[in-house]
Order: sequence, then C-alpha cells, then structure tokens
Amino acid sequence: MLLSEMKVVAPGSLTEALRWLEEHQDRARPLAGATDAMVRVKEGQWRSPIWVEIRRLPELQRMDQADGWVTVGAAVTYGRLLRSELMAQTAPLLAAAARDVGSVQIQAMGTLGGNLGTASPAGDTIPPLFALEAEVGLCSRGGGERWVPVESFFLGPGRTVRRPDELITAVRFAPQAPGERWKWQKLGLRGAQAISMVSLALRLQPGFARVAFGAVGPTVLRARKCEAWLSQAEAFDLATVRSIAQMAWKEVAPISDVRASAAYRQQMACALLERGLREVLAV
Amino acid sequence: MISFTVNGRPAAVAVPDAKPLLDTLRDDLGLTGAKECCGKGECGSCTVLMDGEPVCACLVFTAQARGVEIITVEGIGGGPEQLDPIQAAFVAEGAAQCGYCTPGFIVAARALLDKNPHPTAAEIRRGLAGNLCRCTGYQKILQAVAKAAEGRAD
Ligand SMILES: Cc1cc2nc3c(=O)[nH]c(=O)nc-3n(C[C@H](O)[C@H](O)[C@H](O)COP(=O)(O)OP(=O)(O)OC[C@H]3O[C@@H](n4cnc5c(N)ncnc54)[C@H](O)[C@@H]3O)c2cc1C
Ligand code: FES
Ligand code: FES
Repeated sequence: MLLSEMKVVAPGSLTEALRWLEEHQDRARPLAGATDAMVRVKEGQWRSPIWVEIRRLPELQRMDQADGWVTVGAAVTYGRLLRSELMAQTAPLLAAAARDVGSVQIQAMGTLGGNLGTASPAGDTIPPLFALEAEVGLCSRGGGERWVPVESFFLGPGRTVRRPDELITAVRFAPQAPGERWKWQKLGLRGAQAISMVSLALRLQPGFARVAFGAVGPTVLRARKCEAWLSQAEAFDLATVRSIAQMAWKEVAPISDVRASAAYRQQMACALLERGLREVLAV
Repeated sequence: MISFTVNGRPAAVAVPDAKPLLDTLRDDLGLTGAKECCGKGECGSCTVLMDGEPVCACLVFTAQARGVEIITVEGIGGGPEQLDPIQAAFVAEGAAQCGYCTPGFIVAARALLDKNPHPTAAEIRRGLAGNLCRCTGYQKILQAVAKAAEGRAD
C-alpha cells in the first residue's frame, strides 16, 4: 500500500468512529497523535488503507474524578496530563512519566491511548498504570464497553487484547493516597527524546507496595517478590533496602537490543529500585 | 481538498491524506521555512504551531490539519523590518551558524514564551530539548531566548 493510497476519515463522534472500525475491521486503524503512526508509515509498516482520526473526539478528552475512580480519556495528550491540577493531586506518578516523554513537540501530539495502542514494553505511561492497577476501557459498537485490568491488556510487544472493532476510550484507577511515597525513574541515553532502557514506577504506603518495571520484558511487569518484601518489612535500613532491590534481578526478563544488553538492564533495574527506595525512604 | 489556516490565511490543498504536513507546507504552499532533517520527530527542525502548540510537522498527516490553525516561522514577526523579539535576539546573539535548525528553534521558543513569558534557564532548556543544533553548541541559542524573554532584544 502506497502512502498516497491511504485514506484518513474524520468521524464527528465516538459512535461514528466505532462504525468505521466495525465495518472495516483489520483494514482500518485508529489515528490519534500520529507520533508512532507516522514513523511506522515512513518505515513502510502500518500501511493501513483507512485511518480513523480520533484525536479530537470529545468523548475521549475527559479527565475527571468520581465514585472513587480517576478517569483519563484516551485522546488526552501528555501536555494536558502534565499540566493538569487533577493529575498532580491524584496521579503524580503518571504525570511525572508524561513529563519524561519525548519533547514538548511529542507531548503536544502524543496521547495516552496511543501509548497503550502501540504497546511497546518501553512505553512510559505503562509502568505507572501497572503500579496504579489501572483498568483500560474498550468500546465497540456491537459489544459496548468493557474494562480490562492493565496487566491483562498487553499480550506482548505490540500486541494487546483489543479487538479490531474496538477503541480504547479511557483508563481509570483509584487515586494515589495523599501521603503516599512514590517515584518515577527513567533511564535513557539522554534526557529528552530517549526511549527507556529501563524504567521504574514505585508506590509505597505502610503495608503496601507496588513496583513496576518498563523495558525489561515482553510487556511491562510487576516485581511481586519485591512488593511482598516491601509491604512486610518492619523497618527499612540500608541493608534491607539493598537486599530487596537485588531481588529485582530475578524478577525481570530483559532482552539485549541496540539500546542496552540484557545484563545491563538487569543491573539497572536493581539500581533504579535501590535508588528510588533510598530516596523515598530517606535511607 | 484539505482546508486549514496558515499564518492567518486560508489554505486548501489537494494532496494525499497521509502526506506529511511538512511536505505539504513546503511543496504545495511554498513555505520552506520549516526544514526536514530527521523526518521522525527527533530534531525539531520542522516545528510549526498547530492551534498554538509546537508540533513536528514531519509527523503530522496533512489530513490531521483539517480545520486547524498553523503558524510557520514565516508567520512569526513581521519580516526583516519588524522582527519578533526572539528573531531579533537570535541576530543580536549570533545564535545561528548554518541556520538549518533556526526556524524550528524560533517556533519552539515562541511557543515556550507564549505559555511562559519568564522561563527559568531550566525551563528554557526543557522547552527546547526537542530541537537539535549541530553547529552552535546551544549556548548562544539559550542566551538569545533568555534575552528575548527579558524583552530587551535590540
Ligand atoms: C521523537 C519521539 C520520541 C518519543 N519518545 C517517547 C518516550 O519518551 N516515551 C514513550 O513512551 N513514547 C515515546 N514516543 C512514542 C509515542 O510518542 C508514544 O507512544 C505516544 O503515546 C503515541 O501516541 P499517539 O497519539 O501519537 O499515537 P498514534 O501514533 O496515533 O497511534 C499509535 C498506535 O495506537 C493506536 N491507537 C491510538 N489511539 C488509540 C485508541 N484510542 N484506541 C485504540 N488504538 C489506538 C493506533 O492505531 C496506532 O496503532 C516517542 C515518539 C517519537 C516520534
Ligand atoms: S524533521 Fe521533523 S523532527 Fe526532525
Ligand atoms: S545552526 Fe547549524 S544546525 Fe543549528
């Protein structure tokens, strides 16, 4: 398929967008900020005959809090996320990750839904969403709406449980506790425009810990042994923190690629966790 | 036809939907200020404002520009006699060498100062982190933007 043969349709509502996807299934693909799509198209991939433009759909722009859930629409850009007062209060971990994405130009166009749709294990919003135990909202014309736990949403690099007739509409999660300790860390080759070699989303409350790593496995993953030890620890001294951080070595399953070797990633997963824990616990 | 506004004037182009907006601006609308360098969002030399936000025009499908307002570097300032303070500061500070990156920097800096008229040095660096320059070593560019922010461009 030539670039010049691809068509972009601009539905005016969610219902209309879902109709395009239902009628054309694998021949149609959602188009949000295009920051991944255009790069792939230029590389000769993702040559979809029909692109369904969803960037400006009003139904996908929400950012609100109700009934214990914070909900963020799929077309919300990084720029809106990181400037949002609601996000600063209820999900500072996610806002911090959004601030580390690409550059202001990428943040202006790139969306949360696009990060989930691309499903890269290095996608920077995904470890925070794992640590928040978020749910991904999917909607189709035939099946209506369903909410999938973010951990079951991803099947592998670039693969998710989304059906071709479905759109990601939003993610939702319980807000972070006001006094909770948290840390986002991203290790890339430089500050801006760098794809994560390893990333970490960390949340700690008394008796509660969430540790999610990015770019060290086929999908983002949670380090459940580290979480268990962290939530059971009575007191945190340096030795305890170091031994828990070392456990991350066995919990991650990285590959070697152009950005880093597997062994380096394993070591850095431990290092990021140790550094993050020492910072939030002041040990 | 895909219609939008460029630098305050209506534009309508008959191009493939997925043609990069950068190519449409340069080839079809004769606006060659925005430059292509990497073609994949990494260098910022193609930066334009889309509804006031800085975006990499090399990554935008032309069809996505339907109904939006685009400002290119040609739309910033009023020509050689009436430079924008950022352009004037670039001249005064000698912030350009080969000049290839300059239009992208000017547009990104304009976007930054529109949102944040008095940025700190760190905020300037962050606002321009998506723009690469292979000549100047950045120091003079950062100085020029700081100078424009203080409003004392000559
Ligand atoms: C220079 C550069 C730097 C980058 N830096 C980072 C970085 O630091 N961290 C990072 O995580 N990513 C980074 N990215 C990748 C990219 O910007 C993000 O993944 C972004 O979130 C993609 O969102 P988008 O709206 O542009 O998606 P698009 O490109 O529009 O779409 C991406 C994919 O998701 C699908 N999709 C989009 N929205 C939906 C939806 N609502 N429902 C179902 N499917 C959908 C599309 O069909 C497509 O397959 C970078 C990209 C570039 C070009
Ligand atoms: S040419 Fe667009 S970012 Fe480099
Ligand atoms: S002046 Fe030559 S690339 Fe910046």
